[in-house]
Amino acid sequence: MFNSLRSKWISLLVVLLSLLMLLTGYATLKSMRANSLQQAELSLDVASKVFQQALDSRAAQLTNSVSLLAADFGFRQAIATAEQATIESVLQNHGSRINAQLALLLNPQGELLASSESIDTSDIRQLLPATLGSDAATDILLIDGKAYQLVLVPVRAPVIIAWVGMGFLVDVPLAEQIKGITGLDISFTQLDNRANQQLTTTLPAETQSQLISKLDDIMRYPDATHFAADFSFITRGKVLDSEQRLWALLHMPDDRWLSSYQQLRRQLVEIFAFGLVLALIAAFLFARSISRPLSQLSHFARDIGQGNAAVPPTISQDEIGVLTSTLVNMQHSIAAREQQLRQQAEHDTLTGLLNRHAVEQRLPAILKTQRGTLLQLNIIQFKHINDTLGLANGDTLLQLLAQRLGHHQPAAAFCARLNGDEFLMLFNENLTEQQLVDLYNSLQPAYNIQNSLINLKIAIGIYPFEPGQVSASDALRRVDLAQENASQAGGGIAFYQSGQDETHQRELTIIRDLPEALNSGQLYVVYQPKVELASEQCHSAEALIRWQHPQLGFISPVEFIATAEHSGNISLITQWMLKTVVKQLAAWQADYPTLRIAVNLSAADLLDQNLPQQISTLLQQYQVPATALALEVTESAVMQDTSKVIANLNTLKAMAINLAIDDFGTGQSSLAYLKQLPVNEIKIDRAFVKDIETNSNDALIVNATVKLAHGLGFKVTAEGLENLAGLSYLKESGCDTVQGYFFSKPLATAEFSQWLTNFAATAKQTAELSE
Amino acid sequence: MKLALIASGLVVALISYASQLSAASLTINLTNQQQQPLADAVVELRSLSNPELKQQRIQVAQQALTFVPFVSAIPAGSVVEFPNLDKTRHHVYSFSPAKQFEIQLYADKPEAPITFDTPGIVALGCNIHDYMQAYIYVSESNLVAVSDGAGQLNWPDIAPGGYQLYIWHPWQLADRQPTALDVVMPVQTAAYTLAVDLSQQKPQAPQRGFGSR
Repeated sequence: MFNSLRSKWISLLVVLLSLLMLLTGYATLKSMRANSLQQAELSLDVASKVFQQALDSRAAQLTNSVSLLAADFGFRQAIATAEQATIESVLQNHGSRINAQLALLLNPQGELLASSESIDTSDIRQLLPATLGSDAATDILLIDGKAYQLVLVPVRAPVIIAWVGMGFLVDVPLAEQIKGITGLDISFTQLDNRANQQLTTTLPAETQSQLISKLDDIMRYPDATHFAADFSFITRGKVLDSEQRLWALLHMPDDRWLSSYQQLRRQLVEIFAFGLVLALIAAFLFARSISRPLSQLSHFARDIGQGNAAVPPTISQDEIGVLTSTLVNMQHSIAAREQQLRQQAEHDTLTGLLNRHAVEQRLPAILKTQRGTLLQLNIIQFKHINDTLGLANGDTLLQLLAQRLGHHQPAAAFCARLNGDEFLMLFNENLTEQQLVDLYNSLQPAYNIQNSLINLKIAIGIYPFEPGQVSASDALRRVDLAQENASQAGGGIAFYQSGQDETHQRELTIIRDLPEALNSGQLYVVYQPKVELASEQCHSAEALIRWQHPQLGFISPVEFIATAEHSGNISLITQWMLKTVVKQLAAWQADYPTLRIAVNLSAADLLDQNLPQQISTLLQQYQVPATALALEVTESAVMQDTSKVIANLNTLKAMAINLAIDDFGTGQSSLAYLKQLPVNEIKIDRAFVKDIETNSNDALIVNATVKLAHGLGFKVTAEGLENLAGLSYLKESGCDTVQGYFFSKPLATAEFSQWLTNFAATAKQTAELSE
Repeated sequence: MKLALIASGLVVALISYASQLSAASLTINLTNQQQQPLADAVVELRSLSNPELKQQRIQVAQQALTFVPFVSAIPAGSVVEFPNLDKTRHHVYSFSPAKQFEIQLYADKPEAPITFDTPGIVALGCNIHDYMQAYIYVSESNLVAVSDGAGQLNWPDIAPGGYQLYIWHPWQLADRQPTALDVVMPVQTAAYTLAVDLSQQKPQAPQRGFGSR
């Protein structure tokens, strides 16, 4: 509730004002009340004095009357007669003359001579000494349950011959009379006999009962002012008699002394209410004048934060205005910095073209909605140029190329530098062949690098697209494939050919799945026997790898080995091959102790200097003699880094491993190398063998090769023998061993074992037959 | 026996001496409780011999609106005159048991004197002038007198013998019991003290603006 500035402000103001008003009101009312009370007490004091005065005045009046009576000669004469009847009648007569309710006569000793009421004189006798000095005594006495104002006067003749007393009732008429003077209600009451309290009062009947319950409190403190919440009078008790048994109570109605106080209180409440309303309105207006601009600013700031185009609120002259200007400045700064960041994020710092990130951001929308052409360009042998000219000049060259791309007409929708020397262009239309040629040509003129003219070979891949057909990544890959094709062609223009992408995908799958396949048994080894022509026996075989892929099915070793070589994974396959074959050789040692299995090595394997050590470790691990293992390498593999390869081969040969050159005759090796190679054997490629019976050139080559090899001290194996007709040619040419479908296709492990057994038996039979 | 005779002889001798003393002078000094002389006190000596009373004739005048003298003492049967020396009328009365009377006294018109034949104290008042007071002590004995301003009384020629002595004063606080007094010396003095209400003053005519003396 108090979260908003407005409510806090209003609450603060209201609380402060209320506090102030309450304090003021409290103080004012308190002093006002005290003042009223003081005045009321003053009034009561005055009334009390007036009351006393009235009583005294009555007493004086009565005293005069009684004194006159006492001085009356006839009265004195009658008393002097001492006749009881006379005295009583005189007393009655004179009493009624002055309207006394009580008349009595005492002798000088204080004994009762006569009385209108039957009374006990002990109360009265105490008054006697008082009369000696002043000739009269007055007091208010309780006689027979009634209060009398009694006047006692000595009768002198001239010595005191008697005391005459006259009593006057203290009653309602007296109270009314005094009320007439003071304006206050008056009650008379007695301390005794509280149980059946008789009030003599001018109060209305309904308040009398309330008063009775208060009497105890009131009469505890004479001459004090008494308050009671349930009694609408303030009361002062006044003792009338010397024994404090008779009391007069003066009542002042509350509303008389409280009226001005109550009026002031009512006015204060009205002022308070009015002030509060004013304060609320003022606080509300003021708070709104602050909170509304703040709220607008808050919206403005939020819009800025969300990057919306925010319109600032009107700028006022106060602190809010300062804040608004600050926010506006901030908005501009943010926009500028955002622009800068976007520029940096989307653009290549070197050339100022878009970068790959920006291309990936923009391409999806373009591909979805329109047709057009993607071009990817790169510089052939840029690395060589960089090495030659230096990095700085290489960068300059890239900038120059970027400029030409940027200035080309028709203008591209955008140009980007993907990485290194790769550029991408997007045209919003399908370019004609002529346009493409123009573009290509425009890049041909020499580039001026520090006054040197450099000519570049540019490869351009082209991928035209239709709306909504390919994703951005597909499009980029396809144009990349096209450019790669152009690059491989040594420059020029290449269009993306339908299907290239799928081949590419298959390669990716193979690369991805190969490591997993090695471990999960998808790859396996088959063995193709090599038969010695001279003895018609089989003591060796070539291990070949096979891959049964769960999705792609059987994958040609040519395909996946080439892929593995490209991706640098060939050593995985070689390691696996070696290990599998050596393990199998160990298993076969008992049955075929003379069996030798050949494993193919790739160029990368031959460059690995650790290979001999690895093989040695493997052989020792499985207790297989080195002579049981043969390694086959291609001519082209040897040609990679001849000295390094020859060193490796020497090591292997020294380990007594049989080495063979595979696919001999198809490579581009010179014969000069052949004599240096530390091999034991060459294998004539199947290209020369499979049609040997029909192609005389092949037969000639085979014959020559065998003679050459034998001359150099190598054994010769012919690969790819398919029929009996070829066999005789090979025998004739002097080949040592033959490998091919004529004897057996490559066989799985168990089948190969079986075949070996069968072949040995057959050979034996043949030998026996021939004998 | 002889001793008794001697004793009785001594008594007789004393008596005979006394009887031989034909007259004596008795002076009595009275003081109040503050040892100040007490005036207007009445002393009565009653003798055992109870001689016949001698009537006296005295005056209690009304002069300057007061009774003069304030206190008088007379043996019973004496006569008192009330001469009015003022110009105003006086209405003298007494409601005392010893003598009740009232007489209207006009200026310069004397009334018949009044005889006080019952012993006792008579308080005199004037019905016209309430403050006027006077007392007449009516005694059973001839030997009665009022003390003077020095509080002194004197009987120059009094028969020696035993007396009962009574003292009375209008302002006395209590009745005094009589005391015995033997007059044996030719010149004898005695002193007595009586407590009185010291606040009392002798009645005086109020200083009024009207009327005349």
